[in-house]
Amino acid sequence: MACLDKYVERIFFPGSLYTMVNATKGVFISCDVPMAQYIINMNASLPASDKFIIHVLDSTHMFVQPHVELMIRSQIAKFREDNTYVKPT
Amino acid sequence: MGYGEKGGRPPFKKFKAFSKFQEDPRKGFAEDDDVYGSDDAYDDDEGKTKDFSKLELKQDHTNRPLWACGNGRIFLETFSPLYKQAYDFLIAIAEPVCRPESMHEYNLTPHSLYAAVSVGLETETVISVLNKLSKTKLPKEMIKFIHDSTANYGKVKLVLKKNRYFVESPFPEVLKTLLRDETICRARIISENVNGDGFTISKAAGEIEGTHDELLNEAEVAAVAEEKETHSFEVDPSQVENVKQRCLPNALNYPMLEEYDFRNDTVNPDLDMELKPQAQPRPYQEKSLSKMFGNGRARSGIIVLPCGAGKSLVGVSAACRIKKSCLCLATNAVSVDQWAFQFKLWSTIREEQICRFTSDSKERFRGNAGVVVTTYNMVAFGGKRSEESEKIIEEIRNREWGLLLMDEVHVVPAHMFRKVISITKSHCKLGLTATLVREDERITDLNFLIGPKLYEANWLDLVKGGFIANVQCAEVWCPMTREFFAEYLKKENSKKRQALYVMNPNKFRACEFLINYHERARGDKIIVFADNLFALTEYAMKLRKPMIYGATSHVERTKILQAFKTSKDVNTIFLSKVGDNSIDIPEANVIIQISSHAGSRRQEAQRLGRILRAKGKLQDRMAGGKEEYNAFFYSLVSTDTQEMYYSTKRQQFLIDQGYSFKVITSLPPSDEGPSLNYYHIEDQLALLGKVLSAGDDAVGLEQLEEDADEIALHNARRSHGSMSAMSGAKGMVYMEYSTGRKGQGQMKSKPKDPAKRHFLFKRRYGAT
Repeated sequence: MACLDKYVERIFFPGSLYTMVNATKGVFISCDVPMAQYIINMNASLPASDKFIIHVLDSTHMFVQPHVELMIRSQIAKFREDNTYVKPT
Repeated sequence: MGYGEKGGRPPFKKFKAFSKFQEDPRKGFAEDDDVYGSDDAYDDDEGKTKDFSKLELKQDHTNRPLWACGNGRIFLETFSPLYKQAYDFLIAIAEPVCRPESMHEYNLTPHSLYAAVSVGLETETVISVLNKLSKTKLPKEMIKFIHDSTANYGKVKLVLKKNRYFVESPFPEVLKTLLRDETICRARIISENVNGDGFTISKAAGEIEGTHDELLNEAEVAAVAEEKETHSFEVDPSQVENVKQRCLPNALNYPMLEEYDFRNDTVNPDLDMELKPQAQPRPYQEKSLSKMFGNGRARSGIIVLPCGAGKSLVGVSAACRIKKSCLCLATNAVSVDQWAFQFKLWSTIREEQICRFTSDSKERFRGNAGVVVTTYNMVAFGGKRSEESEKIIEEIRNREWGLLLMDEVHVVPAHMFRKVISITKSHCKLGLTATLVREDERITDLNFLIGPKLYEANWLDLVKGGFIANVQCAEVWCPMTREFFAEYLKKENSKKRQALYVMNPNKFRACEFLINYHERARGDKIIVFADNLFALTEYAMKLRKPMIYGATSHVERTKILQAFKTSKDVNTIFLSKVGDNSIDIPEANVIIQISSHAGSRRQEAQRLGRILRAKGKLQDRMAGGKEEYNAFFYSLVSTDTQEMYYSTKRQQFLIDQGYSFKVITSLPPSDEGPSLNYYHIEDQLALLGKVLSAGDDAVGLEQLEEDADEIALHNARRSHGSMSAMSGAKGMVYMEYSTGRKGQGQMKSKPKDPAKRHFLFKRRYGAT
């Protein structure tokens, strides 16, 4: 099952256009393939100003802005709940 | 937690939380009651209604098989030496909720008690036997409940005399109570000669009778004499159903007794038919029949047996006992033929006494008694008929039937089928079904349309007895590939979602692997089910296997099925939902389900039913035999999609019957690699392109042709239209069933109301 199994805060260096080091604080996400797609899709559906993915590293890892972590978690929880049947009592 | 450990008991708080989740009252908890008191220990309402730790255990509770709880729930230990007796008793008085291997759960309901009393159990017997079997003292609530539910039973009778319906009772005040109800009052037909109360009174030894009753035969006079004085009023035949409904426990609570004293019925001619000597009913078939003919009369009701357990023999045996004209209703022309065949196979009925009435074969009814086999549609059809069928229908309508035999009775609740019951006049109705579930919960209507449930077999017991196949059920989880899932999530593809999760390459590979494995390694015969026509064709073409769907001609179907049955080269066929119930394929023992009709529990059970017929030698099938499992049911599910939701819902019925689904996550094994299709990403992308370019109609659900005989199939569909539209009350609209689009709409309207959540989850979500 997909989940945000770990997240580590890391410093990320987006290339060196300048001689100055440009550091961005973010959250490193590691998840399975479908969930990565889900997060990418979520990102794509937002207006440009709200986009939160800083970098997609590979099909199971990405680096996002730190403030969206809770939002991603709750969205995924909701998505998974939608796909879960609970027997009515 | 025995009482010796009291000193080391965990702190109060912890213990309390723990006990809330206890389903059964356990010994240790019962002992601790005096310590906690009852006022503040359980503040949570939901926890409270399910907490029975205060019930008092009897001294010799270990010898007793069941737990009776105050909320009407009864738990039965199947490992108890008294299990068999307790089961027979419980199934008569309570509704089975869930029956896994070692613990069964039952629920006492007014309807189930109604059924209990109607098979001849008396209130006091129910209570005393229950008390004998219970480990705990019977809760007061339960005793009161049983008294309340059964007190009025047997006071009112519904009698069919000379094609007219009468409500009879020895107590005129009861009839008055009934008549105070608006529905019943309106349904009443006032006859000319009535006494002061307005009731026709028939007295013992033939005192004054109503003009119509003068022709009473001896038997009926005798019956009347027994009851000394019977008051009755006539009701409109078309309103009988409503009257019965009003009398049920949840309304006026005077459930009507409907019994047919067929032995003493000399008005209707006898039909000379016997069971052939080789027809040996199995123990459970005998048992179900004994419930029906308990006191020498025939009771109306429903018998529930799993597919493949021999429902038709039960039906034929019932007809043979009653020995009167019998009207047998089936869902389609194919089963009409099968029923006619079964009658000839099991009974000594003569060829000319049985006739089929379908749109293709209109055999006239000869003689004064016989068996007519027809479909629900033919009888309920409201439009213009041919002259020939009009005559036959007229005959069916005017006749008094001894037995109305209804196959697949779970399809009856629709208004269309109610019509059948109001058109045909029968002394006794017997409904047969395997799956007493409907997604629209109209199943309770059967209580007044036909009668109470007389018998329900336990699937696992039949499996253990070797009467039906032992099926290994498995749910195969196939992860979506990256590309497919990306498309699945896009809003613009919402109509193609189903196609996307069905065509998931990982699912295809799992399916291909399973087919190869079962064909080559085990030499099994496999049916692959796909509701989605697009997927059906894609899979079948790619794997080069024959397929049958709605549009396949009759000739081709027969050819394919024949090849499947006989040829060694054809071991797999692909079926759309036409195969759900009408096609009989006894050879198959593996089912692979790649797509299904949303959350229909019945479809799942019916599909499983295709492989339930026991195969091979009996001793091999018994526990400890050569093969533990001889049939396999795979459901392929794409994870992280809506399919997961539907899949769990569909399994509920089978789980309640005690089946367990094994989850398989690693199919195909990784070493299969390129030997299966869609290994390379290019192939997968090509497939994705194909799915996306297909029109929305092409990827939706299969639309079957308007086929008057396939109601059962239409019925399996869910839509959120009004029930009357589905059932034909709106005339032709009935046939405009929903397509894939509606199904999509349905997906969005899942219950998300937090109030409907299970209380465990509510707590979880309430906290965050």
